[in-house]
Amino acid sequence: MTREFAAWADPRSTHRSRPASWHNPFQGALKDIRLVGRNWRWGRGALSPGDVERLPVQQRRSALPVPVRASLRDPFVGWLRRVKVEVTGLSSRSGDARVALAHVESGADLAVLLEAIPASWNVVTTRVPKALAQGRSVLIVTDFASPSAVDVVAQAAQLATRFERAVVPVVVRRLAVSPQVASRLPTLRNVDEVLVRYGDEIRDANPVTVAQRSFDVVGDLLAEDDATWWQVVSGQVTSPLVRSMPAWRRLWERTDPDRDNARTRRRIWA
Amino acid sequence: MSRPGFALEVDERTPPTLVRSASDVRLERFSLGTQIVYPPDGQPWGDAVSATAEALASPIAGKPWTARLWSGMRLTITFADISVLTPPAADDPRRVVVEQLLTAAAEAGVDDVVLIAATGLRRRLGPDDMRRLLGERVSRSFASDPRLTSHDASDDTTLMTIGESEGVQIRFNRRVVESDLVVHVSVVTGAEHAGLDEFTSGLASAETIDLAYGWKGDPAPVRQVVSDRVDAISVAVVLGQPSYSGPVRFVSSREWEWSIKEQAAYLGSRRALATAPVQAGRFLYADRPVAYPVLGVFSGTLDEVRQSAQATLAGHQRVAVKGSADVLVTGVPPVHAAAPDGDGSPLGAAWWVLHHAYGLGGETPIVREGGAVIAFHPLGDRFSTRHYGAAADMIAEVLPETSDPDEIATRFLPRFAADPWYTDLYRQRGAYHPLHAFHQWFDLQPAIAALGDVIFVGANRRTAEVMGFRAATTYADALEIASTRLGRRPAITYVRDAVGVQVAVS
Repeated sequence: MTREFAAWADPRSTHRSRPASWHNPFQGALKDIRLVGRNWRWGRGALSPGDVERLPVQQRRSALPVPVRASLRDPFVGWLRRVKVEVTGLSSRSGDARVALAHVESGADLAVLLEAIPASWNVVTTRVPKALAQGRSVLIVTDFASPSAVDVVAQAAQLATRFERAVVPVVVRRLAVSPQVASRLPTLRNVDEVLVRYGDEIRDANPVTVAQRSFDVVGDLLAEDDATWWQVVSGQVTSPLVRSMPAWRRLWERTDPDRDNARTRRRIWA
Repeated sequence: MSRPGFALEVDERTPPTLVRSASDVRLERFSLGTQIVYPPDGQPWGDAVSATAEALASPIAGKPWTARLWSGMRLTITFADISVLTPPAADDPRRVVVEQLLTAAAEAGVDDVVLIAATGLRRRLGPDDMRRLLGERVSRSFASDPRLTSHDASDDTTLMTIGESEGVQIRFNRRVVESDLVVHVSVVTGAEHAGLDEFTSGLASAETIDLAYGWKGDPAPVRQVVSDRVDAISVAVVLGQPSYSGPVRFVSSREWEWSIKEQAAYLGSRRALATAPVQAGRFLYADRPVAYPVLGVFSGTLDEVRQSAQATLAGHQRVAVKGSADVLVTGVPPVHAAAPDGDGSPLGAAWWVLHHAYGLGGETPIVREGGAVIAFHPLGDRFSTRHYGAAADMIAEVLPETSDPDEIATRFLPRFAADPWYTDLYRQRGAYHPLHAFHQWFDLQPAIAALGDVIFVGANRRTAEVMGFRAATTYADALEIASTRLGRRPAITYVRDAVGVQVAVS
């Protein structure tokens, strides 16, 4: 020990912890309120400093973002809602009008999608032609494995080409389904992991081409369940066509714990 | 969409100003005439996807990205680690860039692809870190085999010698050297980001990093060797000021614009943090991703990209202040470059204040020579000894013996560097490399030599004393301590948020 320290700071001296005392959680609260309320005028907000008054008008206003529907990606709120959503492949948050064509398999998937879709897209689900004519985005959902999917996708492609909008394929995948247990508080074991996968935008003048490519892209997005994204884009796996089967069998297959070794977590550290 | 930052001179109408002290927040009244530096703010804008596609198709110079690819090539993508982009982004731009690089590589038939996090002496990344940076798609595609890794600065099997300087072998990541093409993905939010130095310090051996960036190190020979031996290009995403939303939106708002909701949120946070344990602050801030505006994306050689990215960043971040201050005041956020997990050591907090905030002025320091720095941080002993084991031992064993960097570099550094315990923690347990703590201490030395006083408000007195700083209970006490050297009316500059701002002293 070569350095000299003040007696109260000497690392060699024995340190006695303070005796436990009751902590008043409201201590200092009045002072905080006084500080926050300083220069506050009811109905008109706080006084602006003199330097701010001398700034150009456009620099005085607040330009911070208003909180939007990102709550489901917030781990805390997601935990409360027993769902953890991860969005992948989203290529643009711009407000350009487009046709979001989504593959969903349940009402719960649709609810997740409605929360996770960018608020800036401002999608509507009704009066689709009118909305597209007004320059708004629309959301069209279907189960690509259902018999009616061909018609729905064809109509979506027709609308997109007629109004010269891009089609954005989306799939919602629930990776783990936990039984709803009767507990008052949610626990981590009950968290569902939901992936919302966006495909690349499809633009073409021919609606048949758009429909066909929509099926292809959705097939690729679904193929990421069994393979990995890299295997799909590098052509190592062929996209499986969406097989027609009852909903319970799809759920059964997707939640099989032995289904996908690629999903197991391995250590990165050697 | 954005409004520039500015320097506010405190007058009678200026409300108390927000100060951050690790996870704590408080309002502080500054004396009349104090200059408060506000960073630029605004609605997040910019489309990382289209900007990246454009940058890859039209690099600053040279061929487009797709023209550099051929089937059968060995491609390595390196990327900046979690110390860049703090607080973490809600949608990390590295994911966008890497996905576009990989998509083009797949179309060109490139199979041999490896991704390496350029962690250097910082902690190696785990699966959750990789997923946070690169997204579910890329991390799940590559993490299941050794194609997605963190650089290991102490693993002889993954390093190879590429030159020699001052009798020390210059060793670099083997895969990077042997690749046909290396792409380094950077995120630029500060003056130290992007370029050859970030690349070299992230992918060299510990001895090489110490030779170039350690005490009295000279990076020039190492830079030269790396430039000669590695064919690397770079993609850099330049980001602006982060903006919090939700319950902590008041952190980003200017105080006179606080709504009643934000005032209530501030008061609620104060009560919650005063009542709850220290870890609650981490829950409140550290895990809360924020939105960043995208200012631009550049691709090209490492030096070209750094030059363009830094010019763009400076144009956005620079705030002019009048004259050098006698006293620089700054807070320390809970999550910053030296504490990306929100569990940083006192050494990291000191590094943030005396290296990062002190250096915001660039060539002209914000505070004059002989001036003082007043910072808000508890310098507490509740930090992760798993991540910062060497820093804990340095504070407990080395600094009580000596604070002289020459003596530390010759007496203690070799012992720590050769200790297999620290090396094992670094390689296997996600700890920072033992040299990292020493380099942080060395980084503080220019500021310590130039300043008269360094005072931490609300700090643990023992820790402050061991590190050679002063501790004060309140801001007024800190000014009282500084006044013995600087007089009763010093010129004060407060940098309200040292993230996303550069200070130009006129």
